[in-house]
Amino acid sequence: MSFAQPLALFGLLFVPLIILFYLLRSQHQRQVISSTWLWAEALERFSHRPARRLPLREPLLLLQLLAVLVLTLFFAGPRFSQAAHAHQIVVLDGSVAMAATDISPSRFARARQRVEDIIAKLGPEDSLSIILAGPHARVVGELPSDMDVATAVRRLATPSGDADIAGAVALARGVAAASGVGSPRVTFLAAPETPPLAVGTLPINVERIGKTPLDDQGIGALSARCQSDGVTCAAFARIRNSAAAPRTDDLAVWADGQSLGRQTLHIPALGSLDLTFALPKGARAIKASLLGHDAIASNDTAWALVPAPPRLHALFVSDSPGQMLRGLHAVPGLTVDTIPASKFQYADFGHADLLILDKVSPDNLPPIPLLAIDPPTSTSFLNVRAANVFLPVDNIDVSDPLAQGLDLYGLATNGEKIDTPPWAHVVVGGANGALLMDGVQNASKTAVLAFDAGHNPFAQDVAFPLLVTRLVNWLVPAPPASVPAGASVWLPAGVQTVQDPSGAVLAGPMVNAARQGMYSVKTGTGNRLPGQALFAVSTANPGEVVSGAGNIPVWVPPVSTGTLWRNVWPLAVLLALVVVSGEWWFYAKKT
Amino acid sequence: MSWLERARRGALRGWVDLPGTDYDGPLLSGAFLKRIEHLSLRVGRSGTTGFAGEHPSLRKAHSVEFADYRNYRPGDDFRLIDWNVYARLGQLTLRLTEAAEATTLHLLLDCSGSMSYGIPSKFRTMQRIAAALGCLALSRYDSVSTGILRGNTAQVLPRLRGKNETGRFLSILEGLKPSGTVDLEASVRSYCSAPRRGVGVLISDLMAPSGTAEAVFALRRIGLEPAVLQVLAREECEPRLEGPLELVDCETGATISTAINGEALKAYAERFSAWTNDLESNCAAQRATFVRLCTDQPLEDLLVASLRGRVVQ
Repeated sequence: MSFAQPLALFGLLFVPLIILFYLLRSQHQRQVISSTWLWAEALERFSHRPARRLPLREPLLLLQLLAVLVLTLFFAGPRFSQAAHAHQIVVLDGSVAMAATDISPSRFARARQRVEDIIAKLGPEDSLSIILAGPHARVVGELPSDMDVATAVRRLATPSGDADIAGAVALARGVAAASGVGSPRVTFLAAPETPPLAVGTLPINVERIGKTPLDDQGIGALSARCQSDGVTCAAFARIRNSAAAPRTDDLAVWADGQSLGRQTLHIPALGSLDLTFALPKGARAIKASLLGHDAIASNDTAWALVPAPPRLHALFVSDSPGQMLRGLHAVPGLTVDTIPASKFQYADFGHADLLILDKVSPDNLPPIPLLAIDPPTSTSFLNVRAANVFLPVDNIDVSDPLAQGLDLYGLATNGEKIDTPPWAHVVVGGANGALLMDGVQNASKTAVLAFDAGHNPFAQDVAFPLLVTRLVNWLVPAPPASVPAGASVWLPAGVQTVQDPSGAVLAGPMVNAARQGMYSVKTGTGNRLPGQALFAVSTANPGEVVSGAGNIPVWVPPVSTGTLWRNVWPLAVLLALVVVSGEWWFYAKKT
Repeated sequence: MSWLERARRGALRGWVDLPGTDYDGPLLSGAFLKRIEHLSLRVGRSGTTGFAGEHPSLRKAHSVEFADYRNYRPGDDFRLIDWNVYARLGQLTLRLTEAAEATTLHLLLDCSGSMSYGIPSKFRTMQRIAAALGCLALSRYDSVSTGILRGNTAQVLPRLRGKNETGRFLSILEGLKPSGTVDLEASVRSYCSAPRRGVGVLISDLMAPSGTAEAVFALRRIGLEPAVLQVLAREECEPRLEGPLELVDCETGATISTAINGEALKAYAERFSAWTNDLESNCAAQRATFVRLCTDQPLEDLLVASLRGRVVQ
């Protein structure tokens, strides 16, 4: 026998509660008699006090117990026909806390073993879904559709990143609703540090693996920062101790492979220690490592990159650059090559990070970020309806990073009337079309200015160089200096492949930073030289979840009458029991 | 009281108009008094008061009841000489007759709070018994003196005599309410502070560890013929309590927390039996009548079956 709503069986907890009420009531029942002295003398020789007995002769007690049983069974929905079907959903915590070795051999190995036990105990009609709540929640395998789930679980690597709890919840609810066979039960195998899993009305069994508090010391954060001169740089490190007692450990720091020294640290219990140390001139890659042994080894070492001024190269194709060129020169780290439109050839973009086309539209566009200014009617990726049309400014998307804080109403001018393409988002627009829009077309970031920006009164405005700088930064963003383990990273323009810390070559444009350490350029163009450190990957801290995970859309089952009833049953049960209890109370007071 | 209520209670059928009561019925009905009017108080020869009445006395006086013969002595009343005996035997012989005298019924009523216990209450039963005895006495030209026992004193009500006082007597009884505690010995001693003659009937539940024997002694000491009527509720004779209880004394408010089971009830029954036997033997030792009554018995049974031959005849 199975139950449609096993949680309703918690209503049976009212049975001992009601019995307790009756026992307490019978214990304190007052009986008025004419005189107590005869009883006192009779009971002097009688010392035996019988144990409390349940007043089974109370018809009201029997009625109330019966009501609780009937209500509980009614709302639990016993199923006799589909007795053996159960859908086990195992959510496996994939955070770095599971890598701890406070239990042998490790928490994650113990969790894998537990999953294998669950698989072994599955009935012939049962189904199973295994979800890994790693940096990106995913379904590892399902039974009976995937026959080799056990092998897939055994091959799971020891985690070193965050846990995508919200993604795991969405997956679990989606899997539970999609199966439609058997009653879903969620088992959450998690480290004690991981936040709980809220799966709505699904029954959940949380099994915590590991001891708490965790005796672990790790580098919670490592970053570098340079002063305005770009020469004097310093590094910041936060050493974290999750043990219940203070710990002493040695910290060693390297810069570009050269040791900067070693320092003995006294880290407070359940606290952290912040350190700042100067970096040698020209240092690029920083590595810090705790030399002691603790429960999690992967967070004992962290890497960071010293921020370097961006070195971008833009190719500006224009016959009359005007004020636009001045605006581009104001962008830090950007060098601009200007060539007339007549001399532009496809091969010219060469090592450029950004292509800017002013009143030009070549047939073939290079696969690099593009800024199109005042596009001609023959533009292939835009439908230009008319030229030299007044373009008023009616709406500005102030939530867009390009427009935030800028007064762009001065953009109103004559320009091209362009139909908004499906890939584009209008940042500044009006009745006759967009003046500024952006988007990704043909796998390249593209921004369009529908007017002659270099010869426009707005070019004299103080907001103009800021807008140009934002356009360049949006089109060619600086690569992240540090990413959490397990994150997916878009490679910057000009970098085709990267080499991970183990020496494996990962091909772009997106790579999965699963291994911690320094990732460097393997093949690149322009100023992306092979061997150049690109970004660092460090281990997450135990208990951390993916930031912003709450924005992940959660699957919501369709509302039906049955679902509505299932949602209100706890209220109905509560109401019924309150009525019964109130009646009992009234009865007890009267008698 | 409405006309219908008076009719329901039987007051209109009898020869006495009964006052209203908040309890569960009238003290006495006219039909009941008709049924018991052939009864009278049972009084010993030393219990008479000297006034003319219907009870035989130790004294000899002019009457129709023959008592004895004796020889004439100078100074005897010639009218008592039996001239038939003189004609046959030639001796002057006096024919003696015994005096018929009245008595006084002294009703000592326990009005403590414990008397309110039981269904019907012990107090109500005591009121009805007292009413029946008092009406019997008044109908036989006897006097009725009532003492209300409460605390350690007795409130002595005016003595009543004659049938005309029946209504007043019943009104007095109806006006009584149970409350407070009572020290039986002290209150009876208080009642006996003045010399009295007649029959002393103490009606109480006697729910006290001591004092009953002393009270009977006090009655006997001043020359009353004592009778003790113990009124108990059925719940006291055969309690039906069970489980964990907090027993509350309705008179003092004292509590006992205990758990009642079969063994506890057996212990109570043994103690109850020993207690009532002690009361009975103490009364017997002082030649006092002792009768135990239960509130669930019909009043006619109480008077005819339980009291006849001991208090009434």
